[in-house]
Amino acid sequence: MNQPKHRLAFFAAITWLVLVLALCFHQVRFWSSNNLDSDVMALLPDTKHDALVSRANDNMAKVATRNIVILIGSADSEASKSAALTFDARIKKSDGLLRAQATSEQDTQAALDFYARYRDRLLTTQQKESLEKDSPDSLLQSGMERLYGIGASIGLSSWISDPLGMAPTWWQSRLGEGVTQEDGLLLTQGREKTWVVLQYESGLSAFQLDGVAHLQQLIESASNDAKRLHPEIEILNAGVPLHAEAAAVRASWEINTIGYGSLAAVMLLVFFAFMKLRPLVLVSGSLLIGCAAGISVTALIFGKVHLLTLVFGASLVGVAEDYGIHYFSSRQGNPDIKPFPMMRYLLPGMWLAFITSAVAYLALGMAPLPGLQQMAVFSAAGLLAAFLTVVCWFPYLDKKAAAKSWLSDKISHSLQHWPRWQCRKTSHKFLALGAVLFIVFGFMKLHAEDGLRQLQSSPPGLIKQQKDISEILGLPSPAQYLLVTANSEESLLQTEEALKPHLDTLVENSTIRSYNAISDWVPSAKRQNENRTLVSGVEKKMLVDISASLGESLERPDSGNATFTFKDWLPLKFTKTLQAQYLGEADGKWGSVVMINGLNSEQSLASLADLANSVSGVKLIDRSGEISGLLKHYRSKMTVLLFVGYLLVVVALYWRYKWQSWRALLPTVLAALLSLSASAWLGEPVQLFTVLAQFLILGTGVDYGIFLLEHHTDPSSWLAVCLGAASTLLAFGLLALSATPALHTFGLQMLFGVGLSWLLSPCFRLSVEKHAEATLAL
Amino acid sequence: MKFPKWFGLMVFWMLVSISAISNLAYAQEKKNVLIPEVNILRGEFLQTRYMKGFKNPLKSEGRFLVSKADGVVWQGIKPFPSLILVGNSGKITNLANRQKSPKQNGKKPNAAMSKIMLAMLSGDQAELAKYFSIERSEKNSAWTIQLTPKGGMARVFSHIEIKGDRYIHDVLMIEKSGDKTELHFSNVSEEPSSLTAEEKKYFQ
Repeated sequence: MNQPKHRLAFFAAITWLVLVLALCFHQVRFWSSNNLDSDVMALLPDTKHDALVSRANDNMAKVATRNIVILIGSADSEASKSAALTFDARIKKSDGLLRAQATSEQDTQAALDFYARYRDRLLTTQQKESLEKDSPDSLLQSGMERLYGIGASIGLSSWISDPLGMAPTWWQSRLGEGVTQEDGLLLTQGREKTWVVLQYESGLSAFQLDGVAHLQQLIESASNDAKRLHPEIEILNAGVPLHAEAAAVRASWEINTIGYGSLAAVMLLVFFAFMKLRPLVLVSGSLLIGCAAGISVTALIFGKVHLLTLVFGASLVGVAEDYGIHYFSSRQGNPDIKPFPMMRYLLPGMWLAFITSAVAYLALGMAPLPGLQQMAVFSAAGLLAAFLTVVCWFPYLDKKAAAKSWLSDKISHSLQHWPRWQCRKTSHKFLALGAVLFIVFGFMKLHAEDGLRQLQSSPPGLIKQQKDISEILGLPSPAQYLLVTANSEESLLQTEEALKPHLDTLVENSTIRSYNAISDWVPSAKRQNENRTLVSGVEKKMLVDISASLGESLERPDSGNATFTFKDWLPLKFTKTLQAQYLGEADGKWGSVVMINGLNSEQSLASLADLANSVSGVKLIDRSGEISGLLKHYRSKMTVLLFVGYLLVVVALYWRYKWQSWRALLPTVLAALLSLSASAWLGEPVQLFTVLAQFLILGTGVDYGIFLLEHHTDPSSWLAVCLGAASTLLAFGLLALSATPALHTFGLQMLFGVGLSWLLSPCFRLSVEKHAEATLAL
Repeated sequence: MKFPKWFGLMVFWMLVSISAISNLAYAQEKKNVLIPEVNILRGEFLQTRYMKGFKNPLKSEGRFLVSKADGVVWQGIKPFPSLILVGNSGKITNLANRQKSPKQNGKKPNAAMSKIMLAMLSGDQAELAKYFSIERSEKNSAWTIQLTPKGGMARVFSHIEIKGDRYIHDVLMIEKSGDKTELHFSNVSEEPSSLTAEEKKYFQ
């Protein structure tokens, strides 16, 4: 009779062993290939966009994720320069950790030659205005002044090829107003200091979880070198890689704290409850397999595992230990039952517990946010693996039931002495009133927040430096920009050219600081022809006049009438940012990005949106706004689902327990309300993750109630619940320490919610007599 | 205002050459070894330019004033009057039409040359050495300095030659484009050794 079942168990154990070995193999590969993701954007969905918008988002993100800017400033420009050279020398010794963004001499010459060929097709707005409006006499005068100027004529070409010296002015305007160059260093002024601007590209291909801030350390050591020489200098640094690195370092600390912290706690609890080494080793083993499976399955499904998933996943340790503890406490309570029969007896309940928890976790993944889906998959897969390890292996590995320990005895019997709610008692009435007031006033304090910031935790120091640099230098936002689309490349450029005067107006009234468009580098053919006609007309006339007054017969060198396009321009090794702004063609549409600098207020965003609406073919892309909207959308959607969840639970409870259902439901409802108001009292905003935590509170909280209705009389099961709840609480308590606001909120809600429902559930348990009645009624 | 500085930075490294020309700083208090150092220098100049496309050389003449502490004033007399001030901060002002178009001040690319001139005239080798490798030869009391441009400067100049004795006498500049400029200084003197009230006005 037992034979086939044993054979089945043996088969299951072997199969699971094979799978675990495969898991180990995958783990080795995973950790050596470094598939960790730290980009916040990777947690967010790519909303339904057409190809050009997606390409624009990708391009902007790619550029932003590598660049680092350093400003070195002092009131004495010589000190700034010498400090910058010292700084740079230290960076150069870093073996490519940070690489200077430099264009080679050859590429520079190629670009200069390229633009020299088309120099009369290129005019800045001011140059165009001046050629159109200035009198021929004043133009002639400036031509003469250049001709007779002191020293060399200093152009990029001979005087005759550019008599008004327009090419250097055009280049200077590309370089940017207020930016100058000395001794091979780039300088800008601000806050009564001269700042040297250094630009680097991060050489790190991916982020290691070694908890070391490689980039930050390098920058600090270079800063120290520079400051030793010039103690008064100020050094500012900014760039996405620094934020990403800070997040990775922080995450690595959090993963270790939460993971090892809960593991240590679970081990202690298990040890003192069973006073034997075997349960300790086996339960820890099931947790390790669970976590490894979580990582592997997530990596297999999503390709990469996000750092925040790992931080969240570390709290799994405090949840997945339930099955092992449940098994050992049942064995301890009933030492006469052998391992296999015990497992068969426990299996239905464990299955149910696993399925309800897994479903609760998977519910997190309902929102189409890749980040949440990763966390859901990680948790569900981890739980399944821990569960299977217990079911398939524990009966084989467990030989002798543990004797009762002091701790297990104490916990098992604590239920008898647990306080019971009595509505007639005055003190209990006051307690109820207090709780109601706490909840009501707490709810009045509730406020929602759906910003992208909840997923990001950057050190305030870095954020401040970023702000300072934007103020001094101006940094364009990679998340808010204008997208220009048109049916052809030419009309794309013409649309940009129609847009730019409007942007100039916004710059003039300080709505935005500045902008950058690729049509500055590659004007439309129409504009190129206009410019060429204008320039050649003015220059021909000037040469005739000068020839007349000097007795010469000057001839304007023929510059041809060809125009250039992106096809000619792209092979130039220009900076990546510029190339990234050109999106090329997709589905018969051409696209480009106009980057906006100094977009700091809602108001300027609104004016930009108005502008985008008024020029056809121009669209404002606001990734931050989009994401906030999305987070808000799912917050309200999940809130509705939460109520549906409660409704389903009520129906399910009523089906089994009829009018006694409230005993299981009320503690959870109270815990949910109290935890929500507690976080409101703490000033925490409600966000998507608050609602998601409420889902898990419903899932786990009701379990405690159900358990007390079902197994009121079995102290060993109460022990299992207490041990399980204690480690769960610890894991989420540690998660509440996370610097990432979303995880902090989630951890805090879980800590309050699970803790309260665990403590409150026994208060509403049936009395012994009623329990008998209820059991009869069923 | 139109172009963000940030993007300027992006393209900066390829522009070093151009801005190097327009932003030669005037460094003060640098030790002088090659060209005699002076505090105040006044004199006359004759400039002859051989330009591509021109049959005849272009001649211009005028007076100059160097004040080590303040800068240089170039006063063109022939063929037409002009007045250019190069402050020691590197700022260039066209004094002749200061009222007419104040916006234009400090933006004339050709004025940058005056800053190299400032470094030459005031004997600031350290400044020159940043952009040129310097070779000096001496014969009796006369010296010749050959400046070979390095880095971005090599895109503009082929070669510069300076001659002098107690003071600087001749400068020959050959540009990459083929244009060539000769400067001859005469009646150079250090007296009076301080700025007159009228001269002081230039630098205000």
